Amino acid sequence: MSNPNRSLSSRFYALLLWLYPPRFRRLFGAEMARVFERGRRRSRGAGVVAFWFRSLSDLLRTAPAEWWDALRSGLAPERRPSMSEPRLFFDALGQDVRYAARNLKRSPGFSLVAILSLTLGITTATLVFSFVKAFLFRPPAQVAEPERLAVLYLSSYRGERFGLTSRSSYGTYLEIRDQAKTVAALAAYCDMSLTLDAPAGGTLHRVPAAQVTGGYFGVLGTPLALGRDFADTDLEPGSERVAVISHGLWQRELGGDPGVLERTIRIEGRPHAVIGVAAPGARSLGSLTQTDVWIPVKPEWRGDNVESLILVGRLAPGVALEGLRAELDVIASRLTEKHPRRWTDTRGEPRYFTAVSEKEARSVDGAPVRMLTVLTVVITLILLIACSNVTSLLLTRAWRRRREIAVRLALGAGRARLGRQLLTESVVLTSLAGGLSFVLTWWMTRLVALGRVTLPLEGRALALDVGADAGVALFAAGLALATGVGFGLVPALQGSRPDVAPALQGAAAERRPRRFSAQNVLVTAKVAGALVLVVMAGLLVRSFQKASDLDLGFDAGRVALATLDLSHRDVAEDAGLRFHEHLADRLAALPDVEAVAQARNVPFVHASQCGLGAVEGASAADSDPVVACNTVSSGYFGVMGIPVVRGRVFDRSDRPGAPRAAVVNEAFAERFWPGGDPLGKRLGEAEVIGVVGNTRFRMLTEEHLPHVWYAFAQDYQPLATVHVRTAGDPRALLPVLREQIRAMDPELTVLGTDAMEDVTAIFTEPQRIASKALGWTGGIALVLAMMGIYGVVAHLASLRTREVGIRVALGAHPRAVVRMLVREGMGLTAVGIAAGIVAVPGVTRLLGAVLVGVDPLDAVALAGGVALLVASSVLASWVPAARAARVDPAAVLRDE
Amino acid sequence: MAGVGLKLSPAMFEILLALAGGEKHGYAIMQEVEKRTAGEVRLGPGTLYRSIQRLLAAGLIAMSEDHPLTLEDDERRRYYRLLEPGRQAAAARARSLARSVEAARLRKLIDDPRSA
Repeated sequence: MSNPNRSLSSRFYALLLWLYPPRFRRLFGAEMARVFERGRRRSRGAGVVAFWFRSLSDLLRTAPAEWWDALRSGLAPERRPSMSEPRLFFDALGQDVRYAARNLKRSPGFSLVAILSLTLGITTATLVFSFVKAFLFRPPAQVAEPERLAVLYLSSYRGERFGLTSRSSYGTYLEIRDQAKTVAALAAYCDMSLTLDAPAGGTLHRVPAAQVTGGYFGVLGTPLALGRDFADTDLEPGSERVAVISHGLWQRELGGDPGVLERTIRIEGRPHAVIGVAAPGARSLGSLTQTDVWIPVKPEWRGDNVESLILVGRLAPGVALEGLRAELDVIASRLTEKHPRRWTDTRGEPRYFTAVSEKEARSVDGAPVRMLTVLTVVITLILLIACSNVTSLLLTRAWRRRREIAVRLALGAGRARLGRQLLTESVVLTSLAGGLSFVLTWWMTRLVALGRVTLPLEGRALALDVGADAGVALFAAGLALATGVGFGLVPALQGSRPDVAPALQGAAAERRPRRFSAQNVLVTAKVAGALVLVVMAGLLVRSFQKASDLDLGFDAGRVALATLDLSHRDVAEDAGLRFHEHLADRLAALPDVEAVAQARNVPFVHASQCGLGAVEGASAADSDPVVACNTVSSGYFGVMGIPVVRGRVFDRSDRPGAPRAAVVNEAFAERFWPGGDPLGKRLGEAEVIGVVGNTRFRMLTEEHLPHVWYAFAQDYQPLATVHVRTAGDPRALLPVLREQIRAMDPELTVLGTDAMEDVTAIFTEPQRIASKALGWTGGIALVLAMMGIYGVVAHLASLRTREVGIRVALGAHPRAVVRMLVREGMGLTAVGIAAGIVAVPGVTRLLGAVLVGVDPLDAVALAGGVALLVASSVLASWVPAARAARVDPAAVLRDE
Repeated sequence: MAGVGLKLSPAMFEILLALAGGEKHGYAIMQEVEKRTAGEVRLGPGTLYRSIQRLLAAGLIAMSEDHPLTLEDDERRRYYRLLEPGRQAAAARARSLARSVEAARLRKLIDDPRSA
């Protein structure tokens, strides 16, 4: 912006300055012009002539002298007063570093802000990296030749492979083992938790465990430190109970006893002989958590009805995965012929096997990968925002030092050298931040390792070796270097540019900040990034709210569960029923217990499908459908808090011999008898006696599916879970439950005890963690973006001091000036928000898998994010603008 | 190394003297010199900055980037400050001038303000 007030004589003088050598002119031209200008203003009348005379003679005298000096020093070797070029690279580096350190020490405020900002970004990135590294590079669980292993999944009744029902039964395992020729050896396993009695008589605790088939360790190729593998004989009925324990467990709880093979441990209250100790690091295939105990597949699971095993086979020599797949298709069709009901899914399609390589199985679930992607995007954004803050600071700093830099350039400093020095400054900053980040990361990962962060899966300990090792250190160092160079490059280049000459000529050339200056671009990018993060956080918060408020259809709080198995006790049906009735009475008598019921399945844990037989009044297409079912005792719906909509639920009148009763849910009634009355309709041999409210029983995000319940008394299940509603904390009730059951029958297998809340909480845990994490990052991003906006507006304001001062002096209301400056700041923000809005859909799509009941393009979250950013930007613009408007116009003008 | 062999011109000495009173920008130096010498020594822009350049190159003065940038400051103005070698050089010159003044007083060339 050229100064309109410069008089004609000043401009003429400026022209005359071209008589000086270029270097001198670059250095001092601006100041000389100003000095002339002021002197010219001060002279009056005839004094003007005298002034001109003096100035001209001064010029004519000194210009040639300067030329003479310039030529003379041109012949002699250049003297660079403050920069003697050292020979060695490291000398130069050392000098640069020392110089940089000195400079940084001189502006402690700037350095502190920059380092903190960078540390925030780099620590976040490094932490996530260490977790990701531990996750991705975890050793494949001590497995021999993992590329020869294949994992077999069975398609579910819904026709696709997902979640808990991608598993097979023991019967299926045996069939494949006997029939498949492409598999040299086959094993099966199922991860779970078991209650272990502490050998020294301490408290019970749950350990991660697995049920496995004979030869399991042999198939996987996991070596055993001591003892032997399971044999088929261990799985025969009536065989002694045996277990293999982990190396860690052996050391921790059995003191590394060399005589461990003589010992027994109590699992679920029953003694198991220790037959082997696994090698250190052994765990289930692809598991994130370590396994402490292996036991043979429980007798009650050795049939066809429980589908919970994952099959893993070692390919026969010379066989490829395709060969196995082909053979599995053949076997599947054979099985479909033999057992059509069990081997057809709800769509009427035959069920099929999927065989994947062991490596693929490790990443079988897309959700972790998607979460990883989201995490990467988030930390990248944070890092970018933090670094861009620093870049802005560096740019501002370089700009303020431009005259010093110009002088050094004019005095003969090499541009490359200068640029390198500036770059060194930013690298020193980032290195300091990187060092700090590494220390922070080390500290935090140590906390994790010591505290043994538990996955929300029955409290299993994370087996990730998360730690700040050499790899992490290297990452932090590399990141620091990269950001230092990457983000310091622009300021360094800009700062050492030859046409920093306008800087020397001062006023005119650099008045107007360029529209697309690096600073403006940075602020825009920051605002966009902040918007994306804030919206993501908003989405997750809403999703978490929805998930928590999600009506499961039943009340999961204050219900304790105990899964019992009466099958191997060989009791007759009526004895079993009496046992359950007796148990229910005993439990109901306990203090705090409100109601007791039994059920075959627990929502989200087990699922069964039942063929209904002929459904009265159903269309032809729906003949003999298969729907989700459960068998429950009277009082179940009360315990679970499921509302009864029509008719009644099971009571004591539904006994064996009485007409078979069935209860259906609203979705069932909707599907088969839309608009009609379900009561009294027949389902095969059963009659519908009541309708209850819809519940969710398999996945949090499923729509309401049809479900039918049968009476426990009429459809006795040896394997059942006792549900107990208590007035107090269900967890406190669990040991009492076990005690009571054991009191009734000490030999009874209690398969597991849990609070229902903990079971269902698994499904909201990832949401909760993610929403908290993203809430934090959104907040951080917002703060960083606001800092950026503040900085830029303050910078703009300082540039326009004169203009502001003049406006105020001319009578402009300070508030108008403030508004003007705020408008400029908001202009930048607007561009940033626009850019952010464009970017949001692309990024939030990644969250699709994690969001519950919230659309990734949720308008509320987006509008909220925009509003938040607009408000923050106004604030961040207003404060420096207000400060600028308070400038004393007299002081500004006086300096003219 | 600084200032060795450098001949301090009168203008340069005046500039050093002005800076001994604190950091100043170019115009302020010019004003002070003019005022102090009662208009006898008027530094034109060329002379002023030529001298400043030589003083800079000799390490007797430096540009002051520590000068806090307030909103009142106009970035066009550059401040200069005296460095230790400059202080010593000015002191040396001042001492030599003082000796000359003392001699002039003794020889009654100028009035001795101490005598009545």
